[in-house]
Amino acid sequence: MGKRLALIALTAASPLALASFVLDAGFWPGLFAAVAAVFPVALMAVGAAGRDGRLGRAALPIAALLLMLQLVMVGLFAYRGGVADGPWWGGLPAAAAVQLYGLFLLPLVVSSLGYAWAFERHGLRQEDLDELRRRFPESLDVDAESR
Amino acid sequence: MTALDRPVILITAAVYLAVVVAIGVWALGRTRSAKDFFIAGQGVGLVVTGLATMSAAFSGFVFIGGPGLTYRMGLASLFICIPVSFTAAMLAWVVAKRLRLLAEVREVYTVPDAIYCRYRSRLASGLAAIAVVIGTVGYLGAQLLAMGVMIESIFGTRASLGEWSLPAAMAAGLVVVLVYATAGGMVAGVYTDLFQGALMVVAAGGVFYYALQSGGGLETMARSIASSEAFGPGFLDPLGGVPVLTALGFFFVFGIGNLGQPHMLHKFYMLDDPRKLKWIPALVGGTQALCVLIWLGIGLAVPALVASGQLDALTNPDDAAPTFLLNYTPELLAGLVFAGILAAIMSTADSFVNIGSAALVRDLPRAFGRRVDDELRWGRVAVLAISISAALFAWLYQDLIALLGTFAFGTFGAALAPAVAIGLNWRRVTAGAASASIATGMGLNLALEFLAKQAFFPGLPKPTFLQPGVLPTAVSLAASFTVLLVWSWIAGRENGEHIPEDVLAVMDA
Repeated sequence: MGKRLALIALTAASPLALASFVLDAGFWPGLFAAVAAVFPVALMAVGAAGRDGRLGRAALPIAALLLMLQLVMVGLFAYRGGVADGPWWGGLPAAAAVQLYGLFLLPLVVSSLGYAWAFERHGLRQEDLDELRRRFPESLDVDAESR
Repeated sequence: MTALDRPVILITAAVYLAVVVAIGVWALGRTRSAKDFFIAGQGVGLVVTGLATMSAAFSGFVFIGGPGLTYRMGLASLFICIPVSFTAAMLAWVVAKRLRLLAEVREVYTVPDAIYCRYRSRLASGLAAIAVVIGTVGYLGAQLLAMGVMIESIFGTRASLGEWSLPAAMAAGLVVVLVYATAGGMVAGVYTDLFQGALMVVAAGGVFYYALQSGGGLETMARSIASSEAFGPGFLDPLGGVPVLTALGFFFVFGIGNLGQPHMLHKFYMLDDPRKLKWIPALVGGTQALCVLIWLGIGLAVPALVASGQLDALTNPDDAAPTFLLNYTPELLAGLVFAGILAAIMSTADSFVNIGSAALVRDLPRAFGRRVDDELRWGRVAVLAISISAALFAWLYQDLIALLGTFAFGTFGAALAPAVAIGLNWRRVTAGAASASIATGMGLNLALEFLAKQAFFPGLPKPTFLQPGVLPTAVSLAASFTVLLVWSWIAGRENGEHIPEDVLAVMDA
């Protein structure tokens, strides 16, 4: 997902979220779940994209996170209402296990280590920081005229 | 049982709080300028920034309000805290680098400062400052309410003072916060955060262990809750105990709204070296995940104890955490956690009064083309006004701590997240789009919350056009993103001529 695609996804997702809040139909909560999972990942893609709009190395953890969140949403709906007669995993009903292990633990590892892994190439390189400091050696007041 | 019956708790808490006060006194000597007061002199390292960011986010809302909300609505409430699994990385990818680099080229102290630099718009910056003040009053109110509940539990004032117990406890908490925040500013806040954050990470593991022990293990607790009449299977169903739009609304608001939380964004200005951002997500996310164990552990243990008849049903769900700590953990651990929670409340309150006062003495005057001469002195005066307003607002709100916190979090998120997160990464966003988005997020959130809660004017409509369970904050967040994105596609400018050269360099770095 490049920057432009991420922005298009966000532009489509926000009104869909609004629609799900006001329209009365069975599929809207499911659609909102998909929107809620796409939204943070699309924002990450917007922030991670380089000057050329591409994600480069950051694409891998971001794509993995998108897949993970979508699968978790499917799991939450699939095992909804199954506390009494559905499967239990790791000491919890399946839906609660999906919530805790799938939405809490796995994305934590993928997102935080993925960020560090991509940082040197697509986070902040020392040469970019040096270049910024060379071009703008003095810190201006907030409301100074632009330079 | 109160802490007065268990003196080790009081002694441990007193020692802990003495250390926190000592930090405040030490910080007073190091606060010599507005830069020190508002952003701790921009000389803070990775571990301090990481733990301070975590601690600022996790406060009375999480440690007291969280278990209380779980007691009331079951595992659906965990959608509030579970997004910590990715929000630290999201913050780092989307805003942390831009904000920190902005602090390289401009003297930015606040989020409205960043908005002013990016958009060169007094209107956008002024609207952001108003949103910060409103959100601050709500969030600080949640802290004072949590502090009141804690003080009531520790000293057992409910039995002696009756209905005046909570206001009296909140007033006592207010005095402590005022003294602390007025004196030490952000230096005090940041180092208290470090101390408190480190301790809470350790204590969280202990509390989780005793929570599991008290209920006989995770599965035993879960089965006990599922088979009880008081809670039932719906408690353990993340999408079952409340409407789906409420549960996933929490996930949406607390997942995305992080990008507009000034008390977290503010911390990125303080980091001494921008390259240290590399490990911020691992540090913030990891420590937040550990602290969530307190919410999860107590949130499951107390209903399990009530379900099995070992504990009486709670009259106030917000009593879940204090009740568990007082009755089911060793005195030393309970003392440390009580003190840790009080310190968490205090440091978060400190962050908020500083952010709110900066909005009042820096950002709002600038919106009107004015400048306050002595920002440090007037900042301290503003602290007083904000704190008293917050205490009154919390008292009038008359609801759970977590719901008050959700309103405040939502105000910040809806008003600020799109303008900051998208605006710092996309050239097409103009001042008009940012102003419209901030006004939409803030105005809609206030209007929907007011219409849903108010009972003074019976003639005013309720927001019945929304589906059952929809959170007003989720609506306002989605609306503010829609406004900014659609406006920018239609009327935005890609060439970047409307953005100062140094800010453009920050956006491209």
